[in-house]
Amino acid sequence: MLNKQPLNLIGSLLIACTFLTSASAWAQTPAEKGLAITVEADKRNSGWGDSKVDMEMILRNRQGQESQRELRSQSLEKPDDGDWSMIIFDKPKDVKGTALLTYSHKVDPDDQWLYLPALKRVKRIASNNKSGPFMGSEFAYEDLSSQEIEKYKDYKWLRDEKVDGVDCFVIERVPTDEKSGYTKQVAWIDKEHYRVRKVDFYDRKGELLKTLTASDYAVYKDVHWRPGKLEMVNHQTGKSTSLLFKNYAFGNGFTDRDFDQNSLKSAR
Amino acid sequence: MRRVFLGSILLLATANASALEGEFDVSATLEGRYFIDEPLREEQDNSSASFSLSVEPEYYLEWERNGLQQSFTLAGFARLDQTDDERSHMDIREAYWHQVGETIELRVGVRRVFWGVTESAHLVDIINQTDAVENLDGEDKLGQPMFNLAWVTDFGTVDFFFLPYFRERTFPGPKGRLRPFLPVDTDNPIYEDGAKERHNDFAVRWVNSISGWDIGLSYFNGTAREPRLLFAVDDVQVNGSPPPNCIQGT
Repeated sequence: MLNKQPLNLIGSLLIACTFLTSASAWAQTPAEKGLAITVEADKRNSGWGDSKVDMEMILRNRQGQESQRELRSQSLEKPDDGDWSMIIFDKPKDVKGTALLTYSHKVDPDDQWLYLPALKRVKRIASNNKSGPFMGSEFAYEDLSSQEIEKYKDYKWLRDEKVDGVDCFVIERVPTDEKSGYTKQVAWIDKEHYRVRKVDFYDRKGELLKTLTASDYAVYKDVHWRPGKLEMVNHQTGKSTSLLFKNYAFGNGFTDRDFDQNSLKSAR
Repeated sequence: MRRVFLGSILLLATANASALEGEFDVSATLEGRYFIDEPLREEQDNSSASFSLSVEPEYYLEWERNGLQQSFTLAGFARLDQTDDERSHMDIREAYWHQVGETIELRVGVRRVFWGVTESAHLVDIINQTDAVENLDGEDKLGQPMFNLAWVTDFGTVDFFFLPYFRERTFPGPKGRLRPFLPVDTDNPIYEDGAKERHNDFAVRWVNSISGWDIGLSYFNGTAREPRLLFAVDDVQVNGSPPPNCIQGT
């Protein structure tokens, strides 16, 4: 009995080795392929430096009643860590000057601060509130941080599928942050430019919570693809939020100083 | 006299708004208070409903000079209260010039500054005086004249404050309903320091965010914003007066 065990172990190791070699020689495993697609998407979405964009946010309730907000966003690429961004509300009056500063991190939880101009106060978004709604929208605070490879684990390519006639890879990923409101995300990434087309978000109970759709892509400076529209639909509440983007601008010369707590407080 | 002066400044801003192409905004709020019970003291207003109107004009202008972003902010406040004369009041909440440099930010004028986080009791928030006639929660603050230099470094931001003038806390008058049992005599404050409201106060605050923590350390040397109320017998009436005392500490 005891003598047999090492043999068994060696035997199974050998089998495992053969299997792994053949798998990488002939085809990637779904896990490898899922990661490879993400790495390629990340590579293609780099080198943009900084950007700014005007946004319109449309909130819709279950009955279809709409309310509208105007906001701006500016971002700074941080090649060694997650990107930095500042979102500033312009309209309506009661939210004017409200601003969200995000320092995304690859491994550590993101740092996010919300400035409330009426109170003159900066509020840190605690990591267990990251899954909470951003300004009453269907976007959670965590949806607004930059997408980094390290933010997810257990990548898995599921299948290929078309979204609006565009060939896509369908991959599954699991957020590494335990405080995330999601247990799983399924993302549709197009094969031509590796742009996110659609994401399904699964809640802590494992049920489908939201679907994000990205559309109206346009290319800037020949390489940077940006969506003209993001639509987040909450399947459980029937509410949805659209974000319409216009006036993308790159190379604004932003520095770290444009993304600190002082600029957060004087953003307007 | 002071009220007339304030009024003219606000009027000036309205007139200039279009000429300088800044942002001008006015918001007006009508507030109603309803009291179920009779007042405890007979000098208090006896009507169960009381209304007040508040107006808040705001003006903002920004420009660039020598490659530095500069701006001017003006925020006024006025309330007209049906019953309480002390609650009918005016204040300049903000009137300051702001310059943003790479490592130095300057702010000169009247401002409201919040120290702390969004907790319910603001223990370290001591730059501005509370406008206590406004609400019971102490969240409304009077404008504070100051010279503020913010030094932005890699190890956080250090804010230096020079506060040349002290604002007395507002208190509801005898007729007001939401007031202490004994009315506060706001006309005869007692100061610890002979310079009274002209005492030069200083404050320094360092704030930084280090791996998920927001840290703040502050030092204040000057007249405490929190008054100590003393009982005083004044002829037949019983009055209290707010004597702000000097504090020093971190």
